[in-house]
This record gives sequence, structure tokens and C-alpha cells, in this order.
Amino acid sequence: MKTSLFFILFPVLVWAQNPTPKKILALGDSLTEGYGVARERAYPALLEAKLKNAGLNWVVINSGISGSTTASAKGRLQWQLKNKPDVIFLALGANDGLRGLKVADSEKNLSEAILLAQNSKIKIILAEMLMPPNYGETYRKEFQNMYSRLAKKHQIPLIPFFLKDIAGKPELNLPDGIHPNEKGYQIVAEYLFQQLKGHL
Amino acid sequence: MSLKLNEIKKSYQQADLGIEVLKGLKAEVKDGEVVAIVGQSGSGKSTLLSLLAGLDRPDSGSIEVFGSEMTRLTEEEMTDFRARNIGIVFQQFHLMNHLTALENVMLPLEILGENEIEKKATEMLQLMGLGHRLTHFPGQLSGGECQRVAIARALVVNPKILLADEPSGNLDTETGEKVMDVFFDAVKKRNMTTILVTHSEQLAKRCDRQLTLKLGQFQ
Amino acid sequence: MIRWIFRELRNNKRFSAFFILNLALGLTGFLCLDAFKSSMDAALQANSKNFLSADLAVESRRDIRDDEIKAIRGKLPQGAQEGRLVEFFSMVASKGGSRLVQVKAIDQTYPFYGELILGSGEKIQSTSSKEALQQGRAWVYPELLSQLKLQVGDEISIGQLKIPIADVIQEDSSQTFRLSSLAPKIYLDLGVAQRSQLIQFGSTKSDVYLLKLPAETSVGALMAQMKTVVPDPMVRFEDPEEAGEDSARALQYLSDYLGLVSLVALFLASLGTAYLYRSFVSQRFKSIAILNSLGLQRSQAQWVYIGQLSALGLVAAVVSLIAAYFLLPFLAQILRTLSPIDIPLQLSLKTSFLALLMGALGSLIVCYPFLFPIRRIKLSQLFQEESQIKLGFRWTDAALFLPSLVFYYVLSVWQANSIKVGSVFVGLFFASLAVLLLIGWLLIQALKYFPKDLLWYVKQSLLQLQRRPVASVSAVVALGLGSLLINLMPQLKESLKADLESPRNLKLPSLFMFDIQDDQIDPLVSFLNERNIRMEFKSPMVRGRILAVNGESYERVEDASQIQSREEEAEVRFRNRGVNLSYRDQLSSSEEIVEGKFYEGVWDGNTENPFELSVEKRYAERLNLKLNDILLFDVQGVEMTGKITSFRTVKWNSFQPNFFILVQSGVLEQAPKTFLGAIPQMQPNEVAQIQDALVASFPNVSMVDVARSVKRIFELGEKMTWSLEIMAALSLLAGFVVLFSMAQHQVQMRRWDLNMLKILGAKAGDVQKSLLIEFGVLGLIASFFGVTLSLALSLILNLIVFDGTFLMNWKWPVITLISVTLLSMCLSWIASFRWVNEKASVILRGDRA
Repeated sequence: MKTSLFFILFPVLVWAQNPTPKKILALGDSLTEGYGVARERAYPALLEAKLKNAGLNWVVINSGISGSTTASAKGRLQWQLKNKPDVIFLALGANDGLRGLKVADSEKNLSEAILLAQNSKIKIILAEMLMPPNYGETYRKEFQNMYSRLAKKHQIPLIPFFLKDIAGKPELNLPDGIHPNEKGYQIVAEYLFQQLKGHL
Repeated sequence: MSLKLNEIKKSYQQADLGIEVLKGLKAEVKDGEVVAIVGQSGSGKSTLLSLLAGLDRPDSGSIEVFGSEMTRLTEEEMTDFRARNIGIVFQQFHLMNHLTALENVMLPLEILGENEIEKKATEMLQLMGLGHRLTHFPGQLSGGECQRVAIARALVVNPKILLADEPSGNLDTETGEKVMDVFFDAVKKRNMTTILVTHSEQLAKRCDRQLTLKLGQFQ
Repeated sequence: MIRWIFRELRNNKRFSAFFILNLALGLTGFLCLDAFKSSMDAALQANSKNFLSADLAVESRRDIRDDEIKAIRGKLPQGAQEGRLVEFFSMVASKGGSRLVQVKAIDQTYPFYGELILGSGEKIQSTSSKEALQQGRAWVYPELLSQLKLQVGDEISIGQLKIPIADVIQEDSSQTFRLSSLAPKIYLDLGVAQRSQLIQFGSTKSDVYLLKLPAETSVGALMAQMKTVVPDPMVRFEDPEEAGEDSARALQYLSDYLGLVSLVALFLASLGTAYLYRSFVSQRFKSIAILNSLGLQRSQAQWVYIGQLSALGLVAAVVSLIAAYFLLPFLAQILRTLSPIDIPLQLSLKTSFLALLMGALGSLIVCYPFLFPIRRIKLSQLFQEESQIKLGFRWTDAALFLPSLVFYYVLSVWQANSIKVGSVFVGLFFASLAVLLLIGWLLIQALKYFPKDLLWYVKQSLLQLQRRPVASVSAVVALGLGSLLINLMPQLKESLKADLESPRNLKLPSLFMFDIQDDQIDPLVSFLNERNIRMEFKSPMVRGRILAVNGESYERVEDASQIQSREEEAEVRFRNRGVNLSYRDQLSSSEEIVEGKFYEGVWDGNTENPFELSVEKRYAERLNLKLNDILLFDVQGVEMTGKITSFRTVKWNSFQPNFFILVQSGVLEQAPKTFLGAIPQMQPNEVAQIQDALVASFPNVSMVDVARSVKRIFELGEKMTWSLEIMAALSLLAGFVVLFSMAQHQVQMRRWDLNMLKILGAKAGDVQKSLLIEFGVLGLIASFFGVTLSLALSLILNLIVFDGTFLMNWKWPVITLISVTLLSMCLSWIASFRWVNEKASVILRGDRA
């Protein structure tokens, strides 16, 4: 009981100090968390800075959990609703793909999360994820189509794959070749800024 | 009769040869007599002495010491007998190097478990003219002094028989004479039956009687 | 001169025999242990090499450029071989569905080490033909067949290609446990894989060059060179040691330990040898003086004895080589029957040569200090009436022991393969020697004050000890050091063993499950219970970041261009990686608190106090964390403060997920989390069934089959534990033999005195009692202090060198104490038996010895 109180009160207190900025919840995986780079160099922090610079009073909550799959979407969203975000940026699915999980299951999970958001009257924006070429054309297509289907079904905006200019370029990624480095996230933040500002 | 030797025979094995060293010795020594056993090197003197000391057994024959038939005693009885009745003085003194003069003389008394050990030993050493050397180690004593300690050690248990193996052999003439003076003096005073093994005619003359050992027999 | 040397050797047969025996024993022990150690090293290294399938691997997640591979090739020594492979994940499709697989695209040279064993029984090694692959077929892990309901001969679609399955892989020595059932492996030919068009720009793959190097190459040095010509952190270099992961550290300790044990055997032998020699030489002084008077120069005399020493040493070395040669196969046989260890024991040429060198040179170095006083023999002493020539030891003579010190230091460092370990060991050893010298001296002083009226033979024993200070002190030192060494190895072993052995009640897990969502954990447990499967553990995992430590910013905020070196890159990424937090209110059986106190109770969120944390020791050291440090976390946007109240160690072979940071209850229960769980070992077909059923109900939960890897690690731990036991036993044996020869020798020196006592009328029994008391006192005091010192030593060695926990074991010290005391008494009794019962008439025939 007391701990949930803590979880609720703390952000509320923070919120109370500023002239009520609006909240974007970035619900994602390691790409959102910023695995390997400092928190302030991950795209949510960079995005928030850009928004502020543009005179838009928004905060971006970094709710990225490395390794998380779409199966965690609904549960986490449920929990984050306490914070009353104004917009949800749903960027999950990459790990499902990398682990070769069934697309149908991933789609179902994402759908439930989107419905939850919509039932709570919160705007939700979906981020498209793509699988690298080594996963084979069949799977890649199937995976990609899932996002367009979801966007269409729930009538929500779809942001095209935000790593499309970064994937495969060694200078923009960590040595593991999967996660962007500081430079890469700069580009991601700029891209998302351009893509998202219209929806805010 | 202090000592009686009866047909003592003793042989040794040297490589594959059996050498007969003593070929049937016969002798009698009266109480208080000082007898010299004279012989060349290799005549069997040391062997005889070992037998007399009970350190070895003859192949045949008997040795009687004050009525006791030594050859009949067991090893343990022999040791005990020797401890109480036989005193030995060696040519090379054979003192314990790690014990003082006093402690060396005290040792046989300790082994026998007597009382007033320190007093007796001190007196004996004083008798030998070594009262001022009680706490010295053999390494610190001259040859003559060492031999006198050895004599003191042999005499302190008041043995019935004293055996001496070339007691002045390791000493120079002058010292040797002085030591032998002390020796004979002590021995005569106690009326101690003494067997003295030597190759020195001179020394033999100072004794009551002389037995010559040649080729394993008394001449 | 040579003649004289031979004469000395011939005239002192008994001494020569004992000297050779002692030295040979030590050398044999040394050789056997060394052989064991190198074989162990080699076997374990082979293990790691099989793992890596190479001596050196160059890997990158991007294409390795031509200029880079050229630079690398430029550093390769003659005779090096090169192989290429590419690894990536992919989805394969078949009539039975589609599946994630790990594709390993190999060339003709694969694997340089290790092998694949196929279902048909064929063994695939480096030189084997890989025709099936070249024809466009695949070798697959059996899990794939069961998952997709396929058989050998069926086709799978990979990228643009349709690949028939040629065979299954039953054994793969390069297998990592991580992903074998999550993503079974498929082996394809490299050329074929490239035709699949799966390897293109943007693919997540590993581009790997495997290198096989000639036997004498120093891999470490080569790797360092290559890293300088290819500085980009994106290109990684890996050697078999790194590939061995955690076991590498444990293996290092084992290796160090084995090195020390072989040294101990040698030290013990040197002890016995030096002891014998001291006595021998001091008796020789008279004959040397005589020779001197006959015209032999003193320096010449020295050379005669040096020659004698070297000759004896050489003979000892040869004897030990022969002994070791015959002993080793025998030892290997015993090992095989008694333990899981199955390694061939061989004498390396290097070690054999070293043994010869040590025999000849070592005996000289160790014994020379006792020989040196020859120079001081005064001829005039011959004219004195004393039958013995004594020489005092001056303080400056101690400097003569310096070469021995250096010799042993170098040897220790070389054997232990590290300056730190070698130095500590030698330093402690010589410090102990000094302590024992002091104890010996104190004993002599104390003996001055014993009561006057004791049994005569008791008094004689004590006088003997007190009045022969050199003999007594050297006996105390020798026995003391012997006891020390004898007890040291088992003591160290106990502590090391605790580190290597798997926890007692360990149920080896078979399948790890992860990504279990919060709302899935209970249904999953029920699901398993219905099938009579118990979940071994369920660990919650909460993701977070460390923002600050004690107020100071923790993360490395960089701009990518700033990072220059590999080390820096690794450091930055390590810090910025985020942490997996977990909570548990109890320690697991493989964890132990080493500092501080494990948290208790539930955190009270109403207070301002930080919650309590327990951090894993090595992780804490890496981050430079101290007890009571305050950590600021970001957990999904919520900042929280915790305080470190304890440090933990976790066994490397515990087969459980090791959470570096544990949080007390009441903090993270509400935070978003997933669970990790494991189920115990099952039959392979059962595993497949469970997996299928799980996937249906819990599609996102992935399972990893660790049975094979766990078994291998477990067996490795067992092997290492066994080798520890054996080595400790061997050093014990060496120690006791040395003690025997020392006691034997001591008694021999005393036979004259013993005889004299008999002549003076002492009973044989009393004389023997005197001896027993004398040796009993020596043995007791020496072993008591020796054992105490060894406890102190092993404590220090454990903490400094082996970095482990000190496990006090009373069994060994007490055993050593009792056995050394009893042994020295027994041996003196045995040795004196002969003399005491011999005819004392010998005294009248011979000169004083």
C-alpha cells in the first residue's frame, strides 16, 4: 500500500512544481531506454529538450525496459496510467521480432494495449518496427504489416521505423551493431521531434 | 675371589672368515689385586675387556665376578650388574660432551637412582683435584683433566671391579704419569680389584701382577 | 681432484644415499605435480579452445574491412591458419511452421579445435569433408526437428533458399548454453549462406575470422599487437580464456595453487637436504683440516665438496626423472579410477631440463652456506686435544643464504605464474623461517629453567636439547617448516574447495525461462504444478538505471566521438547499460555475506530513509562501491534512493541468475517487472513436450535449455576439486618422508651417546624413553608453531592471493600436530631400536663417531 502511494506521490510532486507541462509516455524497449548511453542522451531526454527549445511545454517520460516484449505492454501501461500521461508513444515489438515470436501474438498484445489507452481517453501513437534482412523477407513483411494493420484498425498515427537511417551504419551504433550510440540517438530524437510535433 | 676366568673363547666374523681371538683364557684375580693385561695391538685385549665388562658374551667358558656367573645373566640383569659393580675407564675418556664435568660424574649415580648424587660426585671430583673445574665441559678441559673426570665417573658408584683400557694412552708422558698416580692412589685406597689393559711395560710394572696376552692366550 | 670427489662419494655411502633420496623425492614430487599441473592446464585450455574453435577469434557486428584484415594478417606468425564464419539469427520456415534459428555459416577449415558429432555418427573436424554443406544442405540441432516436426531429409526455407536437412548435430563442442533451444543452431556453408541473401546491409550478424596459431605463439601478445593495428572498438578480439567465462577465474586459482603445491614439495626436500648436509659437512671439517695439513688448499677442498654436491644433485635429478617417468602412468591410472579426471600425464622436456638444473645447481645453492666455513678452518685446531673441530657460525654467514632466497623467489614466481603470488608465498615462507628460529632459540633459553629433580632420563633428554643449540634449533626449524608446509596445503585446499565445489543441495536446473510477465507468473506455476513440475526459483527482475553514487553522477555522458580506446568504450557502455534489480528476503544457498549485514524486514516508505541494498562483491569492486554508499536509481521514471548495507559473494558455479543488486522487500513489488524461473532436469523428450505446451499458453515466455552446459561446468568443478585433494595428499606424503629422514639422521648421530649410557648401566628401555621424550618435545613444539604459522599463512594467502573465504578447518591442524609429534617420536624409536639393542662392545672397537 505504502509503496504504491510512493510511486504515485513522487511524480505528482514533481508535476506540481512546474506550470503543469504535458506528458508523453515513451513506452518501449532498449531503444527507448537508451541501452549503453546515459539517460540524458537517450531519445526521450533529447526529445524533451527539443520540445522545450521549441517552446512546447512537454515532458517525456522514459519508460523503456531493455529486453521487453509486447507482452508487457498492457501491464506497464496499466501501471503508468496512474501518472495520467497525455500522449502515449508505443514503441514495442522489436524484441518480439528478434526472438522470433509469432506475429499474431505480438499483434494481439499491442492491440490490447492500444485499446486500454483509448478506453482511458489517451492519445496513442504507434511506432513501426522493422526486422533486419537476415530474418528473411517473409517474416520481415509479416512483421511490418502487423503495424500498418494495427494503425488502420485502431485509427491511430503510425511513425515509420525511426532507426531506418541508423541501422547498419557502424558510426551511428554501439559495437553490438543493434543499439544506436549517442550520435545515432541525436538523429532519432530529431526525427521523432519532426514526426511527433504535429500530433501534440 | 674377585674374578675368575674359565676357558674363555671368543671368535669374530670378519668378512667370510671366522677369527678366533681368545682361545681359552684362564685366570684368577684376588680381591684388591691390581692386574695388568699386557699385549700387542690386535692381541685381543679389547675383546677381553668387552667380555669382562659384560658388553659381550664369550662363545664358551665362564666369567665369575664375586661369585656371580656373568655369562648366565640376561641382558637386562647384565646391565644392572654392570651398573652397580663394574667401573670402566676408556682410553679416549668417552665423556658426554654436552654435560659438565660434574654432570658427567653424576650420570651413573642418576642411572642407579642413588641419593646425595651431587655431593658424592663433587667429592669424587675434588678427590681427583678437579674441584675448580666442576662446571666445565669436556671441550674446555685438557686431556689429563678429562681422563681424571672419567676415572671419577668410574669410581663414583663404588664398583667392585674397575676396568681400565689404556687409561694414559691418549696423554703425554708427564700428564699420563700424573694421572696414573691419581689412579693408583684412588684404587689402592679403596682396595679395588682392578684390571688394567695396556701395552706399556712401564705401566704394567706399577701393578701387582702382569698377565701377557699373546695369540689369544695368557702366557 | 676428481679422484678426491669420487673418494668422498664412495666413503660416505650412507650419507650419499640419504642425500640423493631426499633430493630425489622432492624433485620427483615436483616433477609429478608439475606434470599434473601442465596436463590440467592443457586439458582445461583445450576445453576453452574447443569452445572458441580457435586460438584467437576476430569478431565484429559490421563487416571487417579489407584493410583491417590485411593488418591482422600482417601480424600473423608463420604457419598460422585462417578461417571465416558468419553467425546470424533468422527465421526459417517449413511445412511445420516457422522458427527462430541461429545460423552458423562455416568454411572448410571449421572447427580448428573440437568437433561436431552428427546423428549418423560422423565426426566433423577441421580436416573433415563438409561436402553435405557445400552441396547446399544443412546440419541442424535436434531441437529444430522436434519443434517443427521435421525429419532428416526434409526441407527448410532460409531466406531465398530451400535447404534440405542433411543430418542432426548430437554434440557440438563450441556450444554456448545461451540459446540452444530458444534458437537452435543450423550449420550452413558460408558460400551457400551468402546466396540466401540474408547477409546484406543492415543485417544483424557477426562477421568472424578464426585463427589457428602455431603452438609456441603467445596469444596474449599477438592479441595486443592486433588491437593496436585495428583500434576500432567495433572489432573484438577473443582468446580461449575469455571464452571460458567465469570458470577462467576459478581455473586460474587452481593453477596457481597447483604451482604452489609443487613448490612445497621442493621446499620440503630442500629442507631435508640442507639439514642432512649441515650435519654431514660439520663432521667433515676434521678430514678437511687433515687434508689441508697434507697440502690440499682450502679452496681446493671446497671445490672437492662442491663437486660432490653437484654430482649428488645431478644423480638425484636423474633418479627423480626416472622415478617420475615410471610413476606418472601409474598415477594417471589411479586418477582415472578414483576420480572424474581423465588426463594423460606427461613429463615435458622443459620440466625435465629444469629438474636436472635444479638438482645440480639447486643442491649447490642451498647447501653452499654450510660449506663456506671451510675457509675458516684453523689448522691449529688439529693440534688440540679435542677430537672434534668446531666452527662457529657468524652473523655474516646469513648472507650466504641470499642466493637460496633469490633462487626460490624466482622459482616461486615462475611456478605460480604471477609475481604477486610468488612473492607473497616466498615472503611468508621466509618470515616463518625467521619466526621458527626465534622459537627454537627461546626454547633453548626456556630449558635452562627446568626443575632439578626429574627422572634421570627426562633430565638427559632436556639437557640434550638445551646443550646442543645448533642441532636443536635446526631440528625445530626443520620440523616446524615441515609441519607448516604439510598443513598449509590442506588448509588452502579446504578454502579453495569451498569456492570450487557446487553447493551441496544443488538441483541442477535444466530449463531457464524468462520474460514471464507479472500476470503470468501464478498461472505458470499452476500450469507446471499440474504437470508435477516444480519451478526451482522465481526471481523478479526490475529494470533501472543508477544515476548517482553518493551524490556524484554515475553515468558517462559522452558524445560518441569522444570515446577513443576499447577500454574506454567498454567502460562507458558498462556504466550506461542500466541494471537489473531484484528483490528477495533470503540469501540463496550459493550466496554468502562477506561484509556488512544482509537487510531484514520491509522498507518503511513513509520515512525519509533509503532502502537497503545487498551488492555482489566483485561488481561492487568494479564500480568502486563501499559499504553505506547511497545509490540513486531511476526505475521507470521514478527516482529512488538506496543504501548499500552488505556485500555478497556468489559462487560461479551455482547455475542461478546472479543479480548484482538485491533490494529489500517493500520497494519494488509494485514496479513493472518480469520473472525468471527454472525447472529441474528432465529427459530431452519431456523437455520438448513442455516447451510445446508452454508456447501455446504463454507464447512470450522463452526457454533456454542449459542441461548440457550445466553438466559440463559441474563436472569441471568436480575435476578441480579432486585435483586439489590429490595434490594436498601428495605434498603431505613428501613432508612425512622428509621428516623421516631427518629423524633417522638425528638418531644416527646420537648412537654413540646412547651406547655410552648403556655402558654406564642404563636400561635399554630408559634410554629409549629418553629419546622419545627428546623427540616428543621437539616434535610437539615445532609442529605446534609450524601449524600455527601455517594457519596464519593460509589466511593471508587466501585473502591476498586467492581472493576467497578463509575456511578454518580444525581437522587438519590437529592431525598435523599429532602426527608430526608422534612421527618424530616413532621414527626416533624405530631408528634407535637398532642401536639401543646392539652390542655396546662396538664402543670399544671404534673411534668416536
